[in-house]
Amino acid sequence: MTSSLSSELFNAILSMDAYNRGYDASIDLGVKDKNGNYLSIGNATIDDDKGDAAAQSIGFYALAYSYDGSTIISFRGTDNAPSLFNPLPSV
Amino acid sequence: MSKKKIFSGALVAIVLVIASGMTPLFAYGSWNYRLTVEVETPEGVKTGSAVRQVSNSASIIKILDLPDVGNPANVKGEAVVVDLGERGVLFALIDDRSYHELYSAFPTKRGASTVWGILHYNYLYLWPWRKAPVSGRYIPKMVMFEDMNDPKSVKLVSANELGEGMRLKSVTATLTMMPVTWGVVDGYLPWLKKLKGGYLHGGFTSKGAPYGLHGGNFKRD
Repeated sequence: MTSSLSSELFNAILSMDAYNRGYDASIDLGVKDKNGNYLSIGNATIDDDKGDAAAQSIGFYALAYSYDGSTIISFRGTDNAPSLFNPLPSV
Repeated sequence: MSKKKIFSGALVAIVLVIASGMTPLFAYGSWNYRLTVEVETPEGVKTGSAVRQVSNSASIIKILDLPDVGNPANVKGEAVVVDLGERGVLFALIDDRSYHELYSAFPTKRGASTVWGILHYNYLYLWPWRKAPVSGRYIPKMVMFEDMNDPKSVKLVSANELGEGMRLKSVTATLTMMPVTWGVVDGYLPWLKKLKGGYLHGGFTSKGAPYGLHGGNFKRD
């Protein structure tokens, strides 16, 4: 028996996916082809992303997916929680 | 002993421990290393190098504590330029994961980004002339340009196929107290400053950008 993924669940997966791609990816999935292009996730294909030096300077990263005839944008901001009791934050 | 003396003594001890940058609670480190790329050509060995900086901090106390896990390190510096004369100019790029050059050259059994890893590198840095090879997947991505004035003419080159008669001889990391190298890349790529860190094709996003490269792959501050 097969069941399809609900769109809410898949959107949640895509929102999480932004943390595992691009610069400072939490988990380096190595999901690029030999030319450095991103591959798909499920039936969603990655159309575009924004993670250049300008984006990195403000901790921003975004992906645009094509999925089921729609464009879905997933993005992340500051993804490193500050370490507690750390008087010397990263420079 | 009076309470005042005990308090003063404790305060001095705390200040000394914090000043040393090492406590059981947190650690901070900043390490410069020279990345050197050597290429064998029919005209002889061509060498390029640049000093890069890796820094990181970590605390033992975390909301979620996983073993051997910490924040990724920060990397500053620029691409290594190897001028091959008539054969062109080779750039060994930099990115957010370039700290692996240092970590792989001088590995530690504890997580490199943990308090213990940072203390390990602080200890190594007491002898800033250590040199070790960078190899395998930690060798930086390398590119050349068909036309140095056209950022879109960039070509990704494999370390194993640099071009006719050329071979990557070595990539090494050497701990150093020298300052981070700036400005060499700008001398070769006059368009880099105008790009302001953006993608090489001049677009807002990576779509259509050659290999997804941007200014931050040549200069990262």
